[in-house]
Amino acid sequence: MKRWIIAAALLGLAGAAQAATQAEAEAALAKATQTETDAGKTGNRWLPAEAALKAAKVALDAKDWDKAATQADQAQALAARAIEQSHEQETAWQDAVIR
Amino acid sequence: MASTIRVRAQATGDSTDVQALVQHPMDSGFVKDSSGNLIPPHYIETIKFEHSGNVVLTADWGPAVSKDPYIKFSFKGGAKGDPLVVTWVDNQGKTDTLTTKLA
Amino acid sequence: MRFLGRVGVVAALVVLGGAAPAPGVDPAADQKAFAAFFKEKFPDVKPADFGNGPYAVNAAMRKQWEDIMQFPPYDFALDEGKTEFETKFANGKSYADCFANGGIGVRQDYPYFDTKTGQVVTLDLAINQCRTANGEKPLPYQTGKMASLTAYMAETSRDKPFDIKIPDDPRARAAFAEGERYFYTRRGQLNFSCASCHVQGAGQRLRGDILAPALGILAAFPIYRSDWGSMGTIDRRFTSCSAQMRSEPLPPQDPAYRSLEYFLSYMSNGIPITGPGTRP
Repeated sequence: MKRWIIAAALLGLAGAAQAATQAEAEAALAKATQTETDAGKTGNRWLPAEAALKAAKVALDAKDWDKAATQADQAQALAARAIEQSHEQETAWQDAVIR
Repeated sequence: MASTIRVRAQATGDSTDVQALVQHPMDSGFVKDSSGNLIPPHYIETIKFEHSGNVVLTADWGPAVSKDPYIKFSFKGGAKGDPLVVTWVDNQGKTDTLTTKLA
Repeated sequence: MRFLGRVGVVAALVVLGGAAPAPGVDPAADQKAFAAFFKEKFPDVKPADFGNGPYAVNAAMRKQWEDIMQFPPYDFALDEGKTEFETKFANGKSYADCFANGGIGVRQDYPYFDTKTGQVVTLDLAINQCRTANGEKPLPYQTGKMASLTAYMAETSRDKPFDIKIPDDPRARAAFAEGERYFYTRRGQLNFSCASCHVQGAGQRLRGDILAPALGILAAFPIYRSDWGSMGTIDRRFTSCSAQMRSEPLPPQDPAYRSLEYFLSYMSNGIPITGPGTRP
């Protein structure tokens, strides 16, 4: 019996997490756009981040809040990793130089 | 206008080695341009090599052959100075021909 | 010592006071080490052959290349380039007026550092500077007429060794250092640097291709690449490589790309020009 309740509760939670509102989608897109701009400043825009950002904008225009939020979060994650990569590489590149 | 055909034919012993490079877009008709429009098919349908008036090779090309095709083959016979005529015809009715001498 | 790895060795050297110079500080030393690395990695390759990229390090590819070279696919571009080079501009001048020796046999000197403008000048850039100075519209980079022109100019320099100079100017050394840094920096979602493929992976397979060693890698440009079915300049390769690493490409002739070309060309000093070339 307990297992059923837990499973139902988990499913309920999962369901709630999936439905994004317009506000959430727009906020996610704004955040992702800013992060991608920051990545650009380090000279390191990743193509998949750009693609996800574009897909998020298209989904937002089509009023598909869930898709927009998902794509924006994806773009955000990729852009953030790109910034990390740039920072790491500021010093890491020197170790690769043939001496 | 410069010829679209470059050919080199070498008579060695009792046979002749022929190589030719042909300048042609060889568009299959399935490829789209950057605006999304289909590039119309434009490819060589037949190419013919004639040695001293005898056809030594006819090739039926088509949309599967790549741009600027290269062909290499040998035929029995041929002596230095013999004439070799190369002619191609494409699906749009265009054609080109070149006459050369065996080396 | 073995378990320390390279970083450990450098750290140990630093501690002992025998630190290797920071990259970019001594270009000549970097160049020597670079050339020595590849000669050690590929002992059977004649030094001059490095300009032939994958064909120098793989016998099967070399055989196919020798077959193709009986009728080089860049032949048509070469003819177009020669015609374009010899055609006068509207004002009566021509390309020959912009270059030393009339533009014949000069490709191996590019890129050079222009101390007047403080820029790295590649051959492609020089061609467009020549055009604008003579009232002509600049040519688009990467392919087409730019590739044909550089093909012709490279052909007139065939077999001449790269002779890139770094003048005694801190800006020139900075450009070299920027190029070196770009070469070794990982970028893009695939987290590759140029070095990942062309140093670590040199001579190995990447899908169906053999990776060319970085030494002499620009000597064959511009190239007819079968993959493209057309001619491409150094810019075309840089932008497509960036995209392949899933990093957004920079615009052609971006200062970072020009510095990269400067670095790679200087590293290849002594390697003869093998361009225009053909690649899979």
